[in-house]
Amino acid sequence: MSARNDLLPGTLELLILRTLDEGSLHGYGIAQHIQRVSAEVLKVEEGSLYPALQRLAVKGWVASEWRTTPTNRRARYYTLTREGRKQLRAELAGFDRIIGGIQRVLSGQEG
Amino acid sequence: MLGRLWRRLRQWLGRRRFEDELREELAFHLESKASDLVDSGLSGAEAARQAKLRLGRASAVMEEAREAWTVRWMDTAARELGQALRSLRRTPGFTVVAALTLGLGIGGTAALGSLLDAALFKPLPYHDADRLVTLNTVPPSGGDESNNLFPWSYPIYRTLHATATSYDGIAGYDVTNLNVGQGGDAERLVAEEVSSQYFALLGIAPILGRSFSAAVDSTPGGGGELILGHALWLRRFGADSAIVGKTVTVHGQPLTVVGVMPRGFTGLTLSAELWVPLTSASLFAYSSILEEGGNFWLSVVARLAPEVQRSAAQAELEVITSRIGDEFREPPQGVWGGRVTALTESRIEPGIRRTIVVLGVAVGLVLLIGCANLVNLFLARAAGRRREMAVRLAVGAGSRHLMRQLTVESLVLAFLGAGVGLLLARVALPALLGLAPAGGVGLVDLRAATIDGRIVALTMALAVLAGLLVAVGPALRSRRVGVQDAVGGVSFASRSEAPSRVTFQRVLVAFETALALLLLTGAGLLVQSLVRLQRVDLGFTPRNVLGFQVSPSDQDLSARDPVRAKAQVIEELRTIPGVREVGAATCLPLGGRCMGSVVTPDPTMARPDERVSIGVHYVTPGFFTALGVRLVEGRWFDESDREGSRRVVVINETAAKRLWPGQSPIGKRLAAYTVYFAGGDSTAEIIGLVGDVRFHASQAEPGADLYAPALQVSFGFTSYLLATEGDPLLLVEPVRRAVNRVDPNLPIYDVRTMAEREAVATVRTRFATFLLLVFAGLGVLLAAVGVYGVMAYAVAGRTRELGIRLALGAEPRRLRRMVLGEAALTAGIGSAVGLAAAFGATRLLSSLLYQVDARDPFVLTAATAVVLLVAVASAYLPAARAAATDPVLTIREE
Repeated sequence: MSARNDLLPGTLELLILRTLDEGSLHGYGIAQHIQRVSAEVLKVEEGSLYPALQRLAVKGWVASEWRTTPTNRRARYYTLTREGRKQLRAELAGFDRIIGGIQRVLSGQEG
Repeated sequence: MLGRLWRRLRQWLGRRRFEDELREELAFHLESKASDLVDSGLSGAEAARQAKLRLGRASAVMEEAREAWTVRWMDTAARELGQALRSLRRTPGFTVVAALTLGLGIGGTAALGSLLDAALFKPLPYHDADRLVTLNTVPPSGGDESNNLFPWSYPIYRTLHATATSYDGIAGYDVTNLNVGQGGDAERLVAEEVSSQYFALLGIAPILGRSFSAAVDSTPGGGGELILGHALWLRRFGADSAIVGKTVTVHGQPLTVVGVMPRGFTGLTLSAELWVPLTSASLFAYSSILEEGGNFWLSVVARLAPEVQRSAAQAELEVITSRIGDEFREPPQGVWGGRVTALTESRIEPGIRRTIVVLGVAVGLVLLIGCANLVNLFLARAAGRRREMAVRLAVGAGSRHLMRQLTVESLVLAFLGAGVGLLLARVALPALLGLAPAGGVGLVDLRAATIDGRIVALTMALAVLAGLLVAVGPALRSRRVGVQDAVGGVSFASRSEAPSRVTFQRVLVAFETALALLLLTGAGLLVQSLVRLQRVDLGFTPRNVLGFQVSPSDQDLSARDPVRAKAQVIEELRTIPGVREVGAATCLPLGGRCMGSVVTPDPTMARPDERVSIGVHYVTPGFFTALGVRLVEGRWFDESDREGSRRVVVINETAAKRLWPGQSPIGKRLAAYTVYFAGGDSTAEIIGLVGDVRFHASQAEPGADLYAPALQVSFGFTSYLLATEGDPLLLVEPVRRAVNRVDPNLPIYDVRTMAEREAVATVRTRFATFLLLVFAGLGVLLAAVGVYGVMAYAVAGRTRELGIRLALGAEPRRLRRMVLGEAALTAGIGSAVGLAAAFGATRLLSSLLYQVDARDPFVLTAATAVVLLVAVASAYLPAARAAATDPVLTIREE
């Protein structure tokens, strides 16, 4: 995981998977989407985006193909694979647990 | 996992396109970004600058994206290899012991593997060797020897050749020794006498000239043709490319070279340096040999015609051989049979094959013991590294990563071992080949065994297998390491060994003990067998007897009467000071290759079922006294038993038992079916009964033998025996001079003492025994190390417990006994398993044993005792350490 990323380790991949769960998108679109939906809170380090996409491709969680954009440009579109979707479910559950844990610690609750 | 590999492979194959696409993708990103920025009010140039700034350096991004596919993966492998090497370097003792242990096992396995390969698997170097068969006759007597395959006589071979239809070709061959050159220049060389189809049948074409013409097959004397082997052509004729057509003197006969055979071809006997036509036997042996229907001396090889089954050929052969009796002068009695055998079946002598297989199994066991030991070493070392492992776990290394690391380490060790092993195999192989006599082991040349690509591949495969085998235990174990081990081991459980681990190691040690016992039993049985073999009554006294041969050909003595010339040689030999007795015979004891015949106790030959196969020997009177053969009854030959006198023979005890069970044979008459008594009467009177002499290998039970006086039949004996006062080898030069006084052209050869012949006859058994002893020794040593290791480990892990026991008043002596008892129990269980295995393996071994039962109680007991003693002895040090535990120290340690 790159040090340039302000996010927690693994979070960028999770966000990409979640974004692609809504439908196929090209890299730039993914970055825009994350930024927009998080109300500009999460800024995707654009340099990390493409290596992350390749890592997901290695694992077989996303597939890609070249398509034409609405503006009539050629762009690489990424799609979630079945395995990617499975992974997304698993990671979401794990992430919820971690967040819950962090929240409990931060709020000072016991047990 | 596979999918990932596949995707990586595809990416790698299309890596140029991958780069282009990535570049295009980044360009698209920059453009989209810039156009968005322009929309938000920036100038075109500024927007482009900002977009680039956001993305970072394109090359860096691409590098990282690429890394996702390949570099990281390989980097990991390299890093792990480096880590393994560093870790092994930190514990040099462990590494050296481990690599040597594996190296010994792998090296031995590789060396024996190459022997096995040569013996069993490498294809025979003949064209379509699967269609080649050997043909044998089976004499009707049966009875005395269960598997009685005979060669052929020349007339019967001719009949076979003319009538058999199952074959594309049939060739006869025999091996002989011939003198090449003249006078002092003469060499005695191994030659094959072969019929003209021999070479074509095997698919061997001459590199110069041609094979024998078909005409030689019907020309007694061989028509003067000669073919040279490649080695001889190089050595003696300087690879003369114009050699064809030149004349070479062979056994005093001018022969014309018609061809030269390719490099490496030495005939089916694997020893021939030259070839002469089969029909020249009448020239080089004796003139009537081609006419004798009852003289079986010729081997036959044939190629099955396409689509002819071996069973059909067998049926046809039996019809042909059933008429063999027609070839005898006497009416046929009893039906001869025939046997078709695939050439590939006779590729290796069964004894040699079994020896190699047994040794291969033994060395495999050593390798297994070595592996088991390594597992133990690894476990002990892993225990010492619990903290390291735990730290690694704590800083985020997955347990799979740890397993991988252990596996990489053990694989690195295994490959180190394989390297050591290959070096060892290179050194050991020539020594191993010492057990392979030149030729005489079958159709394969064991001396051609090499450490080739196949063996290196086998070695590497073994290394991987051993590496994985060794890694499995410790790797599984490492998963149980808890993070708390890193932080200082507060809990009791982390200090004291979990019992399961020690149990696992005990099982390993018991396994080692079992294998070591199995090896030791095998070695013990072979030793026992060797002892019996050394004590075998050879039937003669080998001490101070020199044996040698003088050219067999009557042609060499053509100028004189051969019988008189040979008598002269004997007279000359007698005059040498220090010679006690001189004897001559057709073949020497322990030499194999003697003549055979069939006789009957009924001189009228009326009852065919009483035939007995018998070895036939023509001997001078001095033969028995020179060898010290035991006279049981009757008398030896003397000078009066010569040509023209009453026909007499001496037989051995086995022959007497088979011909006249329970009766004295003296004064009885027997009849022979062969020409050996040619010239009228085929019967002879028995005048003497002698003890059995072992004419074949010393472990081969003697068969029936018949001795006829050489002076009575003018038959060419070639072997001489000299009983001497002192060291017989001192007389070699005087012997040479004495023989040359009779004829300066007579070469003498095969000069060896009978004691040396005896040693050679048992060399194979001695070598196998020696090797098995070495393997057994290694096995026991490794098992001892194993016992020591596991006990030391167990004691170290229980220091606290032992300390408490001592503090509570346990006697140190009892603790010592407890540890020794545990070792004995482990070894005992292993020994029980080993004994059971030894019982199971008897069939494999018993074929190698001589007069020893594979379940010999003495050997089994002794081997078990040794293994148990060694096991307990190697536990002594840990036991002593246990007893010497200082309670105060151990408790304070906590």
